[in-house]
Amino acid sequence: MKKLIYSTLFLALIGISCCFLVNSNSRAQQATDTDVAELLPESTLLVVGITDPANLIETIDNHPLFQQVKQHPGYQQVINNPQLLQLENFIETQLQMEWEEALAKGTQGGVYAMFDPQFQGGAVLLHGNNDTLTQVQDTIVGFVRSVAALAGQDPVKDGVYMGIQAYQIGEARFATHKGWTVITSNAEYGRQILNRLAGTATTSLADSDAYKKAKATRDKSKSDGWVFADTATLQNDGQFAQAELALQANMLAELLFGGTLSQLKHTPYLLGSLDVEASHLKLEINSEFDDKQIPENRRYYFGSADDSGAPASLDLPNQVMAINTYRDLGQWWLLAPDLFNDEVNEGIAEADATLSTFFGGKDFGLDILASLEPEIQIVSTTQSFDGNPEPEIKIPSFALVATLKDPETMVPELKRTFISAIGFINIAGAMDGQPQLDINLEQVDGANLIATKYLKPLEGEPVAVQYNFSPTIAFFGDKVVFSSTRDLAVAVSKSKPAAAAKTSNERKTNFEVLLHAEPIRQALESNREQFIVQTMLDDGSTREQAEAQVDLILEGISLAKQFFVRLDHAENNLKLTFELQFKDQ
Amino acid sequence: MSQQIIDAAWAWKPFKPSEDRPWNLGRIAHLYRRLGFGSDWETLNAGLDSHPADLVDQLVFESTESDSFQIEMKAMSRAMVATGNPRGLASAWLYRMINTTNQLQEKATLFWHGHFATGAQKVQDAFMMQQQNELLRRFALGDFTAMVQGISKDPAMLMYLDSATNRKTHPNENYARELMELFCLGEGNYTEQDIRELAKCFTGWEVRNRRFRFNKYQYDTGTKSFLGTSGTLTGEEAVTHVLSQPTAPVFIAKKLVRFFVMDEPQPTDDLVAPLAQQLRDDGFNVANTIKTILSSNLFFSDLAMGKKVRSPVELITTLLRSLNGSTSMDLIASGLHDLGHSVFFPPSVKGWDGGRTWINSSTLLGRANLVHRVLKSEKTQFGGTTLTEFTNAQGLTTLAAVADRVIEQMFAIPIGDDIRDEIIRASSEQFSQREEQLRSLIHTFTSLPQFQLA
Repeated sequence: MKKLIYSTLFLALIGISCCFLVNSNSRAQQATDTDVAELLPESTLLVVGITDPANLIETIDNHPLFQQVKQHPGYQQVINNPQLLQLENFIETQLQMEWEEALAKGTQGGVYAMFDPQFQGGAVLLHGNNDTLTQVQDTIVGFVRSVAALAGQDPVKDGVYMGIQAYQIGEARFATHKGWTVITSNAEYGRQILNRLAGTATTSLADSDAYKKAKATRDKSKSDGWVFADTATLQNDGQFAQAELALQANMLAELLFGGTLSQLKHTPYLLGSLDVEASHLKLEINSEFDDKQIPENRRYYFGSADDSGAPASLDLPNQVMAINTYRDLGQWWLLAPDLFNDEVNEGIAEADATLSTFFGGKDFGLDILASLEPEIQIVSTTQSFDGNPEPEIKIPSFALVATLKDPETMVPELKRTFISAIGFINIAGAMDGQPQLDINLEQVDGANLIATKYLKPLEGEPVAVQYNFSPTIAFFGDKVVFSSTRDLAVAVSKSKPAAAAKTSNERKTNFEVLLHAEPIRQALESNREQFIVQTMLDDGSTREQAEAQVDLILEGISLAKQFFVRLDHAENNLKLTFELQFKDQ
Repeated sequence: MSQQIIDAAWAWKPFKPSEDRPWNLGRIAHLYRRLGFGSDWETLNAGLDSHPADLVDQLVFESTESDSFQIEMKAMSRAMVATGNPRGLASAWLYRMINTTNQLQEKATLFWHGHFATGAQKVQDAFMMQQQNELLRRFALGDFTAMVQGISKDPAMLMYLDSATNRKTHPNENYARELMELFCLGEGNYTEQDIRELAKCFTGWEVRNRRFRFNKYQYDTGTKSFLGTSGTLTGEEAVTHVLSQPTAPVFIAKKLVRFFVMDEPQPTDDLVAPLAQQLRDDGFNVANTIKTILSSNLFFSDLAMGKKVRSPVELITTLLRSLNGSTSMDLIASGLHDLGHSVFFPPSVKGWDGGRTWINSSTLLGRANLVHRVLKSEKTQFGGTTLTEFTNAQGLTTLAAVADRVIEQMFAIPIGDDIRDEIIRASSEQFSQREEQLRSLIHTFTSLPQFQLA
């Protein structure tokens, strides 16, 4: 019975959340009386706010992507849960109003969630019409009590704190006062919030300088939601020190996050803003940026003030993905003793020796990586396989595009090494009965290519996954392209990438990943048969069921246009942006 | 009744139902478990309308898979081969066992896979393993001579037995030995000299680019003498001569009886003599002999019913087929691997020993755990829905009704009422939700020692 009571409470809370997400259709009038930070202790680390939930939910609810989610059997199962529907009916009867109306009224001032490491707890705050919130609260308490009464139990504890009526069911504690409903699992943290609601606490998060600065910035934007994080609290909590240790053990993580971490140590806050429109979903996280705070061992990440930042995206047909970044790989490799722990450095020393041998005695860090400019690009496109053997599993082409500091010296070096590598692959492959690569030297539109191609498979043999590749190296001007296929190397050569992008005078892109939905859908579509079979085996389903599942995902992707993650900076601002753009409906 | 006194003439005569040996659901379920992987309640009941011999005849000679299903299976195999990972082939084959409408063909393919055991752990090539599987399926109910000729040139088999190169100066004796010992004649029916001479016949047989190739320059053109013959025999002629030995049909008949009828005791020469004769008369076409076995007095007698230990593959496929179940094939494949019955990965060229070797304290627990994992998995469905809805649709609205159905449909030997009642009580007290009660009930039933026998 106890289990049933907890399930009921859980369903009640889920019910509230679901209705937040689905049922609310009215645009709420935003309450602007008390800032949520005035209710929170100064030690609060993270606050997330949805300023106008009703509007946000209406946008999401009307979006074609969500319409597709609604068709999913899993969604239908949750939304048509008999207990949830029973609770909804009960509450609507008790309130004498519909869910939509109750929720619009109860959250017109926003919904907030927060976490405080000092109290090891968090809370959810709803802000809106006090009468509605109290009525909903009382109805839920009454519902739980009436269900439990059938077994002669009362799982609801109640009491009065600072003149405020509070309840506890299981681990959930909640109270409503002055238009705020506080829900928490941490009693002490709950008391801290109620103290401020009752006006008995003298300080709050709203008094902190970091929050004031963040709020000033936040108030300028008209976002649908925001996130505030107090980085000083993170620093004091030892989180940055732990992150540093993690980066010291992982070369890729250092390459991706090292410089950003250096900056975060010197910034007082992080402020995120969420923008939800029918055309896009965008999250921006801003912090302060100070070029002088970049340590020497992380100059490879941001470069100097004169450097240009990441190169501009290439304009390639059927582009699945692009990564454009500024990273001085030579510096990164040579600074390894300062950046990484002993274990990683041992691995680097071993790799250095092997790679130096591979490159004919050249020092891999000093002579090879340092010969590349820091503007690096990785691109990926779908493949057509026109006239070529078509493998069962089709992998998009990918290529690395870089600029050589000294093409005259490096081009012959890279040519020789590439040919040696192909020879090595052929010998190793022959020992294993694998297909062999043929080598051709070509000139296409002023670019010099060393292109390879697998010899055709024997008739009746399956076309192996290797046939996705025709490794090619291309040179034009001071550019070098290491490509998985000849076609992509040619496409990059024809696109004539500009020297280095100057994104704008004010902002420099440091790193960006762009994913294009339609080519991704095409790449997945070309492997549809594989996905169907894999789904049949994963779920034991019939082909028809598997086809429906795979096609639903493909249709979902077809609604999107592109997704990107971008890290850029200006003189005193560092910004990380996530944006999902949808096609025009 | 010991085997010494089984009358072979009685044993292989067609079973005729009588008052003390009626044609009932128990015997029909026995038939489906042995020739395939079990069947759902409706199919079992439909069997009551047929005469035993007619039903067997229909299942042996008339069962087919639809064109669309065969196309799906080909696509599935192709997709698994494309990944290059032979483990995916196991999942695909299990899917076919659970969903095929031609159960005997898959069961017989599984039999030949154990007979001509070839392990992907050594071959390391999904394409070759799949090609061999297709070969076994093609001849599973057909010409054994053609199957042996095919398997002798099968790249996966030759790779597995280190016979990818076979030169006249150093004939590889592995395949020659296994051909006589494991595939056609059995131990004691050849000499070491026979092996050496037979191996010369296979010189020049090679695997290149995943295909069989005859290298005439490496073929030993000299005279070979083995098993009472002498001449410049080719590999094909050598296989034909091995199969012409009188012991060959006896050896194969014994293996078929062990697989389809009973683990113990080992069938004697006298008992299988009529089957061996039939194989010989049919030119080694096995379908008629299998039909004789499956419609015989012995097959439907107490000497056979409940006298075989379910292999792990049979354990799980029977459970699912009986309840129209579906689940993740990767989950099953990995569980079967843990239990030592990973198809495409036999433990040695001898295949799986079967019988009592399937059961020990560790595997008993492993079997129960596998069933538990399948029943707990969110991906497991019965008739495309929950067990609650599935049993309700079958009119089984109480735990007792479900228990009785499970016993009648899935057990080969009776369960005491006290055990039945205790399982119902435990499932009902331990869980409050009906779905959990049903899954617990089935898990407990399938963990019983009695369920391990088929």
